[in-house]
Amino acid sequence: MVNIRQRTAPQREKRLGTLSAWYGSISSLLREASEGELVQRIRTFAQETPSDLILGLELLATLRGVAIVVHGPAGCAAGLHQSQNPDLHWAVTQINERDSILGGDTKLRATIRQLYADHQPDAILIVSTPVVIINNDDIDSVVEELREELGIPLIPVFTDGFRSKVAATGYDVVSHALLKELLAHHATTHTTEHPSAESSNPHVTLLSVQESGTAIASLQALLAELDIASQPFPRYFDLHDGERITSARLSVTLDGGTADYAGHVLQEQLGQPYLNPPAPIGIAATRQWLTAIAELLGRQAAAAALIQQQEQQLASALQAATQVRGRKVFIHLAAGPAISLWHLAQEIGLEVVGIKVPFLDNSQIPALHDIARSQENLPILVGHGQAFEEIALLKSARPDLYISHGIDALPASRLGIATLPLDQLNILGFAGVRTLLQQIERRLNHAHLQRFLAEGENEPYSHGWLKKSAYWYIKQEVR
Amino acid sequence: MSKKPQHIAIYGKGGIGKSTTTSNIAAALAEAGYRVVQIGCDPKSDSTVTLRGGNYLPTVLDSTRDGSKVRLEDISAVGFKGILCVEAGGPVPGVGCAGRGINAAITLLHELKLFEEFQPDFVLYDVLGDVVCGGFAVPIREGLTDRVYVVSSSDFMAIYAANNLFKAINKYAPSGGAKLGGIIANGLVAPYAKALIDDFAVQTGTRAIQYIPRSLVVSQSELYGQTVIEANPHSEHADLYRQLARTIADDTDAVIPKPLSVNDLRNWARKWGDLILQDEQIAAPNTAALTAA
Repeated sequence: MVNIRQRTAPQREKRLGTLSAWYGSISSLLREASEGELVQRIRTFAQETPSDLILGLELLATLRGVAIVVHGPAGCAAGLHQSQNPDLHWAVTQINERDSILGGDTKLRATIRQLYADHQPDAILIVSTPVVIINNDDIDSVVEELREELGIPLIPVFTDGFRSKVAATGYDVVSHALLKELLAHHATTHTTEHPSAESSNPHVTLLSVQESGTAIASLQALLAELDIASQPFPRYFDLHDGERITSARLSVTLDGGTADYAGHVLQEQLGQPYLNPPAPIGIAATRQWLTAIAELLGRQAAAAALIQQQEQQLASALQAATQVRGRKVFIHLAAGPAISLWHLAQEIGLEVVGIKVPFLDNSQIPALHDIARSQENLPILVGHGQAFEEIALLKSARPDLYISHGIDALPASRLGIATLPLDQLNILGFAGVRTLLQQIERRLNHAHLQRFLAEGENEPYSHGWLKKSAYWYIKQEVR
Repeated sequence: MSKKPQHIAIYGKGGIGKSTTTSNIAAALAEAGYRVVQIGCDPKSDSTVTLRGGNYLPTVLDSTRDGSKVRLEDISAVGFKGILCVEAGGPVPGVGCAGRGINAAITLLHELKLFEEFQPDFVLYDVLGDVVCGGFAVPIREGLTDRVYVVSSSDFMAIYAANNLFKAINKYAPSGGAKLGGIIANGLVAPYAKALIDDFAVQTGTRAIQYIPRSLVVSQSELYGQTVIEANPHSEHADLYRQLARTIADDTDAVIPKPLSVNDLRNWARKWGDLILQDEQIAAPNTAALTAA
């Protein structure tokens, strides 16, 4: 369902059958999906729902060498205010009511010119917003006109905020826009075939949309030990690495599927092998991840030696981690990392008492079956936000530790549960196992803040609200 | 003492003669001594052209483009017998949102206190074609207009557009939107045309208030850049328009129409198709019988 000639990426729910609302045991989820397709649910009430625009901007803000123009009202660029990227230059066209009637192309043209004059970026990405999509503002002709005048790539990114129920569609939309540009450039500069498979120093693309810079760097270091160079895409993509993306020997996801879009496109368009192994979190998953790459590049022996060496080094750390054994954890991460972390929990003797994921794809069904074989009653909550649903689940699951990204840990903290926010940590690869072991121990022993918070009168929901079925709003769609 | 003007919206399929009809109604009302405002609600902004001798008139939205303060005299022109002409305007074809434009233009006219300043007896809104989106329904929403009239020929697509308008009226009327004054049957040629429109009116619980046959007088007046009232004041058509204007001024009855469903409309049209065919075959047109059918 991926067609790079299309204007933009299809909705994730159409492409991958993505499910964004569900609650129940893992086995009941899989019973419904016995035909290989997740059965859709809708939420009749949503406390908060991010859009493709928000996640798209968050991803774009990690790019190097580019500037961003958000074409829309000022508030639509709010996501960029929190960018940690000091080199990022961006502007918003700040269209008003008059522009929404007469068309905003004049402001778009002026904003692109101004941003270029001020910062001379290597490329400018033009991000569309709900207003200009509804109005059908003609971004393409402005891009066409100024591309010649400025002499740099101008790349439209058609996020719209409403087409998809799954915010991660924004990742696909960004990947689509970047690849369209890269492939067009590749087609004009490369008339011959791909670089030789015998190349002595192969390089691979690490497909990532959410991982931290340190986590990606750690995996790059691991691959470098096998003389494999690598570059991330689309997260932290540096425009100067464009040729390396199109000439890479393979592409591989870091998250077990969320960053899959570019892999499919590169495979279809350039015949570049695409790998989607489990997210390299934990010993077994990292082994699988590294082995899959090594096999395709003829480095099996070196990889096996490296894996053996790393596993030996970790063995003593695992044995020493007696304190964590038998403790209960709740995992709130994207599905790929959550599944790998469940396996890591088995490796170190933690009991997983619940999982929350923002969405699930059909492609994750086999990995869920692996989990269900050992823990068929594991509760799974699927959704973005909806803190009251999660609080209800946490109150019944009673975990000792809650593992998530920072902001998601708030409801658990208020309930007095020790939290482990992963934002700045490297949890990938063998090094990630070591980090996780240390952090889990540390967090279990240092939950003073959470205990303090739990003592306060700060329950965010009324007793009455929490007393009724928290999952009331998850409904089967009636057509 | 300030008087309350009657706000009248005139709709209909594109090319059906809305602007011609509206301008002639305006001219006839002005001739009868009323103070009239005509507001063209169409991005083409050619609604009032025959009332003002074809002179250039900046549109409301044009004048807001440069962001400067707009004055009433910048966006209006006085035409035939004192009719105040205004064109809402809109984006150039293919960009922006014309529906939102109408919304914004009418809001601006209210802000400029057009109706308090000019003190009209009648305000006529000549609205673009079909009700394609919420913006074009603005004149019939929120009590902005008192009555709506639809211009239609006996062609199916014109009837279809009228039926769509009825749906919009039906939707908005319960919350204070305008009601339907009736159908203005225009450009009638076929012998069955009048009967067909009458039947459609019966089916939808409304009425035809005037029948205007196709005429060279209308075409000729337009070529002169004038209304029929101005160019051919003694013609039969000028009298038809005067009669129409009187009906609109004096007969304020209005109803919430009962639009036909897509299937019912299709079946109704098919029935008429069959009747017209039969009528042709017996070579003796009997439109009275058709009406009863």
